[in-house]
Amino acid sequence: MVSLMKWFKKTASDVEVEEELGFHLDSLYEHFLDQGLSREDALQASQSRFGDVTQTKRECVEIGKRSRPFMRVLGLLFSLMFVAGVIVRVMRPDLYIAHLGDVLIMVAVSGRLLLYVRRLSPASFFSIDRARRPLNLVDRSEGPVTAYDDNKLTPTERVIFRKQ
Amino acid sequence: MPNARTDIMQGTLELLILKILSREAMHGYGIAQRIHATVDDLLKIEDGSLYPALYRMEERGWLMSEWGVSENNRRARFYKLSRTGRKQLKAQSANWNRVSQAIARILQTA
Repeated sequence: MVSLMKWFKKTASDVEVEEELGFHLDSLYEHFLDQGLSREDALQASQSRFGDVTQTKRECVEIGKRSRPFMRVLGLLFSLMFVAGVIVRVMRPDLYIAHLGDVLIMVAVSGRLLLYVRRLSPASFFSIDRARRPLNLVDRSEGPVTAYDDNKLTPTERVIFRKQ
Repeated sequence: MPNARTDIMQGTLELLILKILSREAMHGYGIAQRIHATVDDLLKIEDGSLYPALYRMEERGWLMSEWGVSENNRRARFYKLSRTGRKQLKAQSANWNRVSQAIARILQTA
């Protein structure tokens, strides 16, 4: 049951995104430490240089999920199963065959519901195995994460270049 | 001189990434460092903005990624250009040159 809940909460792409962004943040932190900054200043500088970690992760996980071919195929399979169940139910109203149609429809609906709920599960950046990460970086972004703007771009997609 | 924030279209960042990866495979941190090293006196970019762009480009088939070991012995995801990505780089570079020439011409003559 616990492992099932874990599967709901975290997908392979969540873990990979966390590891990838964590590597970047850790590398930035070490870079600023090498430049002579104190631990606190290096931490702040790395977070400032990176930007909104939570938003970035959220977007990456979302993009990663929609592009995973296995999930797409699974979704398609459930859709086909639903259609097959409806056809069987309509065309062959014999009792036993009708049950088969009902089973197909139920499995298909449950499967689609499962995929939908799984996509809803929020990705949590700080719940990874801390033993793997030597640094304890905390997202200190201030203010609410803004939503899509008029151009349908998220804050991270709107690349901000600052001219000095 | 006060700082000016300029929103650059998403495609510009993709062009930068394509160009940087045309030379060698790199992880996201390496790409960010290369950008900073090249244009840091002119523009500054938030490193985090690279990742949605990288993921999107991989989704489109312009990039391929695989996990490897970084120079400091840590696991990192390395990106490299696909054949489609190289074609995109060529097309986007040509487009960028055309647009920048047109804008420069307008700024000079208008």
